[in-house]
Amino acid sequence: MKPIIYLNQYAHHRFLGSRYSGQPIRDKLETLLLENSNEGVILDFDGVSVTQSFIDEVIGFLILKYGANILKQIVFKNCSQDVKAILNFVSKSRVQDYIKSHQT
Amino acid sequence: MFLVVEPDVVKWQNDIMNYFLPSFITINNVNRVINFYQQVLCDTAQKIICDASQLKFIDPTGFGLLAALCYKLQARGISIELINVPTHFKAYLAKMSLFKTYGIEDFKENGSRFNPQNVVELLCIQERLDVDDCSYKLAEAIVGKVPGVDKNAPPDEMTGYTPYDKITIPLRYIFSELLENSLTHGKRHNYRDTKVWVALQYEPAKDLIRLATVDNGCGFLKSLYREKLTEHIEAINLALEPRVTCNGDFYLRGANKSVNQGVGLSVVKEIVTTTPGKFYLASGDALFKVKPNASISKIMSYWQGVIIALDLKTDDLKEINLPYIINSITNIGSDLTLQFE
Repeated sequence: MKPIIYLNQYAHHRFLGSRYSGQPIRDKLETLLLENSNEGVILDFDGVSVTQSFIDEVIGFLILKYGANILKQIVFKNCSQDVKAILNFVSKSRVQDYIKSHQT
Repeated sequence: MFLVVEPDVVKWQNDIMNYFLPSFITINNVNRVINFYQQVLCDTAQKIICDASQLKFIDPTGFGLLAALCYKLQARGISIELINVPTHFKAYLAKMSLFKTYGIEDFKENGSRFNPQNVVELLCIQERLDVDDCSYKLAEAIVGKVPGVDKNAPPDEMTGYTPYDKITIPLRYIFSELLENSLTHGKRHNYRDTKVWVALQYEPAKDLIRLATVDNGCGFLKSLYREKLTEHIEAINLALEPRVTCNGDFYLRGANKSVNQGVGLSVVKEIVTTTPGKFYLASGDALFKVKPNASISKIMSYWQGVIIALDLKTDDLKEINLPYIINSITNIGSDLTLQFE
């Protein structure tokens, strides 16, 4: 069974805006991904709104570190349309950055 | 950089120089306000007296700059006294306890004409860990006064958002990104003590939100040193371009470096400018403004740091389409598919 990170447990009145708030979540996500590489991890966004900066600190950072394949291990659950748009934007742009920085 | 000494700014009284606050301490008068600020800071007296008798209007930028001035003077061990403050401004100052911490008299609201429905807030933050708390306090201060907004109303079936969410979410997004920017970029190049003063006014009768962030950090020109620019106008133009400050190769330089995608400011500008709102940005000797037309110009005075000011209406906030705005910032073509449940 995939481990789940409930973001509403970290949110400040249902909002996660700063990069500072993203760092401990990213650390936990990275640890769980390494421990559960076969199953993956669920990120549950129920009841939470986010900024692009926060998502970049959590997801963008990991894409830059591990590449696009890391996204195959993450399931994004209960996302609003705003959250989906931000996740898509950050993920696509950071995948592009990763590819560019690893081109020889 | 040079100072323009306004003939009506100072007056000698009992061998003490009195400085007259400008009549309008606003973003539209930022040149004169900063000039006043610089003039006061050149004074070597142990006490500064500011006469507010000519004061007619002060907006959030003005509150931020006034707070920054008081902070600077206090840091130098210089006391500041405000005299002849018009009655209705006393009420504003009484609402903003920050001025009391800078040694300004604790004004009482007795007999003032301050409309209790109006909102005015002024906060100062220095650490990134305070960003989320600050954005919450400011958004709550506004939404509590918006007519007809019920915090406990059921969510809209289509969007999942309540009327409360439709105002607070974009507001918190704006506050969060602006404060994050100031504290991250502003603290570079040995500006570790950078502070951000964030102020807002809300008048329910006009449905008008005015907010401003004023920081005393390194400013855009220094922040973008890699681009080898020489003019603040160039730096502002570049800072508003998406992805300019993006660090996309951080992992190769070291996995512990901070990340930055370089779109936070662009998104905020787009949020405001898709509404009939106004957006202003000043740094160094340049001022950028949008509405009715975008323009950027040199101002005579110099601000070490960044000033951002916005005007918005809550009715327009409710209509913000964040997915559309974010996708319009840059064209990222990709076949990437995320796993959503």
